[in-house]
Amino acid sequence: MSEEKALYARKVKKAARMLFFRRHRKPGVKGWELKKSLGKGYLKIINLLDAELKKIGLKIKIVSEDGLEDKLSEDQLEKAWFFVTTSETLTVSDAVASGWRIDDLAVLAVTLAYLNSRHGKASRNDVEKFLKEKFPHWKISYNIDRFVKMGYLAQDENEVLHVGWRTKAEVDQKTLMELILT
Amino acid sequence: MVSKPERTNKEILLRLISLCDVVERKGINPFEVEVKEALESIRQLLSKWKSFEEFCLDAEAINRLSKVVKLQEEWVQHKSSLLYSDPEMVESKIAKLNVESLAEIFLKAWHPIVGLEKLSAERLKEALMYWNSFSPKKFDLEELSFRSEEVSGFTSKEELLNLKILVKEEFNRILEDFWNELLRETKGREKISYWNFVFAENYEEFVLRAYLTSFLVSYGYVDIETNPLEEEIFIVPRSKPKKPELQKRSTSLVVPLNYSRWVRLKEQKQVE
Repeated sequence: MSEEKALYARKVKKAARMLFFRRHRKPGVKGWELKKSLGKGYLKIINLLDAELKKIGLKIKIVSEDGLEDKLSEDQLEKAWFFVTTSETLTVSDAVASGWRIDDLAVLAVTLAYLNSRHGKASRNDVEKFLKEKFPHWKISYNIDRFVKMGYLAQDENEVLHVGWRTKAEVDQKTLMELILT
Repeated sequence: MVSKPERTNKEILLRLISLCDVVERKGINPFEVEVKEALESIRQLLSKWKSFEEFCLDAEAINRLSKVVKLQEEWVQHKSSLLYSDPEMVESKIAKLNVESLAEIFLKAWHPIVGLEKLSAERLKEALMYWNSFSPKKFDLEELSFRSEEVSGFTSKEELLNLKILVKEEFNRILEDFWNELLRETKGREKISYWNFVFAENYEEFVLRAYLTSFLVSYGYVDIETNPLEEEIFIVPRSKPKKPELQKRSTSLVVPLNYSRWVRLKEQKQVE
């Protein structure tokens, strides 16, 4: 293997370690951290790693601070979060095996659909009222608290719920809305 | 003394600030605020202000309007994005979908983050600093005297309430919701099989439902009927709860609950 290839191989492994092993309160790595560790050509390294990950059903997802994914400027990329996510979707049995309940997934789907239809935010009261029409009342508050803690939802001091950072990283919201509406 | 026109001018600004605040906090349509007219009003009132307080109010109104303009921009951006959908249409579609379908839809749009967790030297250092920040007296175990003769075997609901581990209103609400669920399930029927009612797809929820059902019985929300020969237990809901002290006689019914029973019930459900 030539020296250049060996260098790239080392950097790809380093990038994999940085992305897989959690170092902050939430998973993922910031673009500037990758740039600092891998050099100015960090995006090329990330693309190489992405190609390797795709072989095993994973991929690298980049989400800016504003929740944007496409056509990010250099500055936006440095401040963006880089995650490793699954490239394929999970089956019901996969989700259950990883500890998710079917009704909890349904509650999250309905909550996100409700928020998206209301410009990405709504008061917690309104969301709970809507959820109670479909799900057992006693679970709703508990579920919403859990989703806020996990990052799927965000709640501000006025008890208004927003779409959280984890939803922007993990959920293809366009597909979710299309599937619900068809 | 404030003259009537001055009070009215201030009221205009205060009403405007309040409207902007509602738009910001409650997420209502920001185009409800006529920004152009509001700015014109503020411009006309500017020459009338004399005190520092009035100028501050003026600045506050401009600040709030600028936030509304930003919200209007975000509103248009969202509406022109592919995520916008008519709220009523979304609600009606959701109403038609069952829980399983909603879960499957979510799974088709979900690509969870993959990661590994490890204990690093930095985290250990943080943990050590956190532990050392406690005063020695906080964990002064030598001063505690264990009075084993006073240790009781069970914790009652009253003890949990006194310790503020359980909040009375929350527990009552949970129980009422659970009782309403039972009433819905037994609509048109006098009684329901205990095992059919407490069964859940998940073992933890199965135990929780059995636990809540025991409170429904104890607090007089339901009656229990048993058929010892067939080893059957039925729940008979009351339309109104009857206080336990008013019940003529009370007995205890022990219902064994374990994982193997849940597995057997699950297999029976699958066969059905």
